[in-house]
Amino acid sequence: MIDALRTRLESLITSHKVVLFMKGTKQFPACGFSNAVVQILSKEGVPFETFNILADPEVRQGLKEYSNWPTYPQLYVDGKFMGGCDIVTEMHRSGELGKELGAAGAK
Amino acid sequence: MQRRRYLQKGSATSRSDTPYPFMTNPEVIRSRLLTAFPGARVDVTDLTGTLDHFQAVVVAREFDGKSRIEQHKMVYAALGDLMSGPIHALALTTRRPSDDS
Repeated sequence: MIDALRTRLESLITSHKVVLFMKGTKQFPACGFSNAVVQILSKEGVPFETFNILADPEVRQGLKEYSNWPTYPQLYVDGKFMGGCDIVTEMHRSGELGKELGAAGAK
Repeated sequence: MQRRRYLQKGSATSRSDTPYPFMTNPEVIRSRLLTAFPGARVDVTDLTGTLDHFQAVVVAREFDGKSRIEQHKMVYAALGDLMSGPIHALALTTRRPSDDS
């Protein structure tokens, strides 16, 4: 991966406490899995930023390689990869996600 | 040409492979996962009936001592090229056998 792309990805991931890379936007999710994570973050009551990977092929491909994770959505809290829809859903149900968000100072 | 080369690969899954390299089915996915995780409990469902949105539950000893992110990465690695094309979406649940007892 070229350095410029890596730098860009790292800057996107750390641009806010909570960043969700998803298909579509917060207002108009283009995929059920992405929508599910938007709903979870809304329930957690934290401010979060979303990035529409459908509008940026470079990020769409690059982030998969960067995180070694082949699918979207991908959730980052404090620059740390939390997981995709299934893991985030489990963490939300178990209360782990709330703890992570709290520890990151996102709540 | 492409299709013939694909069929000649003769992988363990070729018997139940669909004839098109850009499609898959639950049996192929299950077979790949069992190859990577022998003795695992593997359930794969076609969620939409369109052979591209699947649900998989994998209970494997190999997940012992691995984080959830690592467990999912192991599944994605086992599915390999299926993840970049044939599988559009995969709802995934991974567990260790000890989680089920």
